[in-house]
Amino acid sequence: MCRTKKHIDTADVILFEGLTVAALEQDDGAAFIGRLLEREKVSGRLAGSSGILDGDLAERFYLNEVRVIERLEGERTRLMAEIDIYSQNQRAVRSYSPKFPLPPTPSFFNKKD
Amino acid sequence: MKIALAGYPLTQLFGGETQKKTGMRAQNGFLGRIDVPVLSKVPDKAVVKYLQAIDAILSDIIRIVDDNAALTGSEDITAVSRKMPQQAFITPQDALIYLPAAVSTGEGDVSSGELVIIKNVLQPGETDISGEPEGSAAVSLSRDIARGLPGIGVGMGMKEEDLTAPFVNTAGVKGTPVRSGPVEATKDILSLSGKKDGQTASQGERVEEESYEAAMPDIGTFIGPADLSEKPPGVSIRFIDPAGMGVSGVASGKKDRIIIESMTSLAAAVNDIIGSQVETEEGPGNAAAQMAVARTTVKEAVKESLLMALRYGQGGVAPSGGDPFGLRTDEKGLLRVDRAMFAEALAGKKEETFRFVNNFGSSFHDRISYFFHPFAGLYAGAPDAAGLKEPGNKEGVADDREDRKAGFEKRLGELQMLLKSSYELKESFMQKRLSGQNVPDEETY
Repeated sequence: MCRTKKHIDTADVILFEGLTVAALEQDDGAAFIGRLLEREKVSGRLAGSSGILDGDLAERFYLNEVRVIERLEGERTRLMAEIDIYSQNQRAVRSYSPKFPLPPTPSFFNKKD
Repeated sequence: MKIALAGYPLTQLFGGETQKKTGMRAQNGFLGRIDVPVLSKVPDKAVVKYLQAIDAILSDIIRIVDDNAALTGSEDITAVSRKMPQQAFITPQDALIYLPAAVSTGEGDVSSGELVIIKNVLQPGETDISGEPEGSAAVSLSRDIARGLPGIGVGMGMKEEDLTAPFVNTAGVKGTPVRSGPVEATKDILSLSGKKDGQTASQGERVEEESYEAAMPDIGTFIGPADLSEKPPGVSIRFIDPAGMGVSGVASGKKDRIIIESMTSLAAAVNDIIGSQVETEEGPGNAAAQMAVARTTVKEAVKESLLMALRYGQGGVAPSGGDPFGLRTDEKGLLRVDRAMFAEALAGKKEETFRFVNNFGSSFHDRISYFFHPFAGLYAGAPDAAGLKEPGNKEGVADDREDRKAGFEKRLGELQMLLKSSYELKESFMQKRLSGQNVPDEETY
């Protein structure tokens, strides 16, 4: 008797691919991340499923996921740069001490000796 | 110096309306929360670009004048050398100047002799700023250095006749040992000083030093790049790196030119934003509206900063004689720089001009950084009317900082989680791709 494996739920597959494509089509980083967060529930089911995917479909999903990972890495790099700029701003604000009639403004500066 | 690119902190809600917590003073016992319909919390890219350019130029200008002010002011002069990385090696491009023990440091103490090493001021084959060839360039350089040293707090109290103290130029010795004692030192040292006991040393001529009163102590042997990690006894050593400081005791003319060019660039950047005309048919909230308020804000900031800087220099009184430093605003509010007058002010009254530039730049920067608000243009000169925070009030600013940090953390957490999930999915799809190829289908998708 041939033993067959059960395929993953079709609805999950359709939803997953739809959300993935929708996320990749977003130009805005926040929207892209939002779509991926929505996809997370389905992702969990897909990743944990012992079912199989048709070879072509799995290939397509694999390639999509590679693109998703690239976008996510880009977003992370951008965020790190933004954090760096912000921390430099804060550092500059703390370290700058005026020498003129403008008095130091305690609310903005936290002078650490 | 950097500016907060988001301008004054605002919290945006869905729908575009914004609610801003304010530091509204208690009135009749009530503290109100003001709903201020304002523009988008993210300034338009054009506005940010202009402000970034202005901030960058201001940073450069103030860095240069700050360094100079630090050296000529009352700041501890040892802080000058502490700022610089201590480089233990001497190269032929360095100029060595020995100040004998008799020279006072200006603090009432008599130094034990000081060796000042100015890094990378000489390049082989280089002419000096007046275009003279290397030999006389070294002479001119040494004299200029000697004259400039008191200006940076080194060898203060040194008189004109002290210029006869021996100056040692490693480009001249090039690995020749520097020995102790006047006579032996004479043979090895290329004396580049001027007059000595009625004699005039010609350029590059070796001078007999029997009559030198100040003897060069044994400062060790320098052969090629020398390691000065161990100081010779009786002599203190100071390294000065003009490139790192942004200050050159020699190239002060070049520094002035840099300041003039920077100020001209600043005026151009400021006038770009003040003079910009963006036409659009859309209403408030778009780039044109943002640019309009940015224009007004910057114009007022320039005018107020200029007035403040001029008043400070005049003891709190507005100057009656127009623009003594060559900087003014015209009838349209554009910043005008009279290069000739500015250069003359830099040459003639350097400290006063540096102080003016520093005051102006700092005030301008602070006004842009901390008082910039989408509606600030409407409330120029009266920030209280807009309910903006005054310095000294921590509320709101600290909240915004915490909000920003929380936002960053949240976003970073989400990204990390999504990346982990995506990597797992990728692995899973790769395995499923392989395992799904050879197994018969129960149902085909």
